[in-house]
Amino acid sequence: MEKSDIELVDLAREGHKEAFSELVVRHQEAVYNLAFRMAGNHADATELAQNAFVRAYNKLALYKREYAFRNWVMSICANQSRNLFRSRDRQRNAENTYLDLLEVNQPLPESTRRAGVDRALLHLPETLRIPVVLKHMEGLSYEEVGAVLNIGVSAAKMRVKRGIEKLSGLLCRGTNEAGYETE
Amino acid sequence: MKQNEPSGLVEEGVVKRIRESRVTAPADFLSRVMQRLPDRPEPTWSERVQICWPSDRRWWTPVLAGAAAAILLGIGSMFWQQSSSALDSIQVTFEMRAPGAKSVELAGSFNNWQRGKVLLHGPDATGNWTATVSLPPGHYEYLFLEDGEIWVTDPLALAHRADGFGNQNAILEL
Repeated sequence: MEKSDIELVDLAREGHKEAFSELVVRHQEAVYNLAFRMAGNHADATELAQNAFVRAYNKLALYKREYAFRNWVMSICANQSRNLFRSRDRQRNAENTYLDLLEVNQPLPESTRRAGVDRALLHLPETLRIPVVLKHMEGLSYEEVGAVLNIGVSAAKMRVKRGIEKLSGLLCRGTNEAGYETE
Repeated sequence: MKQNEPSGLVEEGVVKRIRESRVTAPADFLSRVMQRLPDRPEPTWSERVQICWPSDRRWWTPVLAGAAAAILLGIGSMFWQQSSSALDSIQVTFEMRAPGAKSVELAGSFNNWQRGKVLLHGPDATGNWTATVSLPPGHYEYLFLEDGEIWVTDPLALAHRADGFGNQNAILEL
């Protein structure tokens, strides 16, 4: 019978690394995806997501059982991402890249359309981007989004709504100026 | 998508595109994470205390260890203070010429004028009596007492002060 996350955490705390390995397998996609949306590139995303899991392992004693393990690690990842951006100021570069895309004047292939979404997401301020990613990519409830970001449910709803509105605007601009459709 | 499409539909389309944009972790992600893990997670503070605490319930072991450490610390502190005061003290040799005296002693403000505490050695061939005393820096007054009866000031002192009983106390500044 498959063990629950909490059972695996208990085993990992006792030094059973294979239990933690199972936790990584279960949640690496969610954590990595969030890291990628924060970092904007795979190299930094890999570093961020790995750091989040390593830190989670070291701090397993602080894990609260009422919290989903995946959400806890994503919370760690989000906090680390903020620190990374404070030190590197990479968001500005991401915004510049997106503005470059808007200058393209011909229809774009599917891969480029997807790149448009990626870059539009990076164009969102961090306070809106993470809630949007957590809600619509990872499928978290508003309660879980609020818990990960340590904000209230209504604030989580508002940020997701504003994030989607802003993304819609950005992608429409991209459609009109770049000549491809959003959907 | 048309420009005049209702905003609700636009946003639905955006959400769909966001869901389709999910990325996947690199194939070696797990192995790279596992390579970086230490042998065990960090213990909490209470667990750290438990690690140091005797497992056989001999609670008095750390208590005794703590008491021993406190005693050693106290002794060390006292020794340090003594060493410190010894280092700060100045050796002063008092000298009194009294060839006919049977005994000479020293009394002063440094020992609350107690008699019989500092006895001078002598007389030597020249009739001098001497005693060496360690004193911390300060201002002192003193007199010699010959044969337990006669108070005599130190003629070699740099200064003197009347004591109100007819004697001139010798002054010593260190």
